[in-house]
Amino acid sequence: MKNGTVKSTALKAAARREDFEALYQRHSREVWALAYARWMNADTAMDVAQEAFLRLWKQWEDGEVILNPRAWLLRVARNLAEDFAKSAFRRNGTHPPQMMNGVQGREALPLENLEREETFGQLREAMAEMSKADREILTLRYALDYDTDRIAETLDINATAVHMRLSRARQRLANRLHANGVHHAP
Amino acid sequence: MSYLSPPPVNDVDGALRAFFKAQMPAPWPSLKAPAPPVVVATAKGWPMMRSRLALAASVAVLALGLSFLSGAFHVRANPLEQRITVDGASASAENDPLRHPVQPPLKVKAMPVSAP
Repeated sequence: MKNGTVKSTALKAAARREDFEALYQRHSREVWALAYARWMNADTAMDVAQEAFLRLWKQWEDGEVILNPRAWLLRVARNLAEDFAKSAFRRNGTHPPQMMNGVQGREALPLENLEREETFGQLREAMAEMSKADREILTLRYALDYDTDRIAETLDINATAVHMRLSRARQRLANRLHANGVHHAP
Repeated sequence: MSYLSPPPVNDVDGALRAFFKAQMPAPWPSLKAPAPPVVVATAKGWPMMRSRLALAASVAVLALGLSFLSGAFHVRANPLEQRITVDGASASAENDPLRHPVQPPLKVKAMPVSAP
C-alpha cells in the first residue's frame, strides 16, 4: 500500500517535470523577448526568463493551481524586469561588455563582422532611446516573428492598433538610425 | 540620402531581423526543473541532546568558577572579633546591657569620721 503511494507520487512528480520542461520550450522565448525589450540585454533577459520559470515551478511545488501559465509567466517576467532596476546587480554596474559598447565580447570577431557589430550597436542604442512600448512590439515582431494576431493577443490590443504601433515604431527607428548615420542594413 | 528622407522600411526590417537573430541565445539554453530538496536523515533527538549537554557543561563551569572565586576571597570570621559599642565598652553576650541590666550602684552609707 505504502509502496504504491510512493510510486504514484514519483510518477506525478515526473509528469510535472515533463510539463514544466515542455512549458519552458514553448514560452521561454516569449518571456525572454519581453525582458529583452525592457533592458536590451540578452543575458539579463535570460536571467529574468529563467527566474520566472523557477518561480512557476515553486508555485507548482507549493500546490498552487495556475490556470494560464503563459499569462502568469509573462506577468511575472514583466514584474521581474521592472524589479531588476532595484537589484544589486544593476546598482553595482556589472553589465556585460556588450551592453556598454554594443560589441559582443565573447569571442574575437573577424574583420568582416566588425561593421555588422557596429551597426548592431547603433541599432541597440537607437532602440534603447525608444519607448518601452515601441521596443516591445518590435521585439515581438522581429525576435519572435509573431504575426499581427499573435502580437495583438500578447499585448492585449486589437490588430489595427498593432499595425499602427508597429508602423510608427519602425519609422521612428528608421529616423533615429538615419540620424546616427546608418544607411544600410547589415 | 538626407535626414528628411529616411531609409526604406525594408532596410530596417532586415536590420532588425539580423539584430534579434544575433541577440537571441543559440542554442537556446535548457532549464531543468529543480530537483526536490534532499532531506538529510539525522539521529532522532541528537541535536537536542547536544545542546543540552552544552548547557549542562556551561552551568557546571559557571558553578565551579563561582565556588572557586568565593573560596579565594573568603575572609574567615575572627572568633575573637568583638563589636565596639558607642561608649567603647565591649559588646558580648555576657555584658549585653539588655540581657544583663546594669546593677544600680550599691548605696554606701556615709560613716562619720571619728576624730582620732
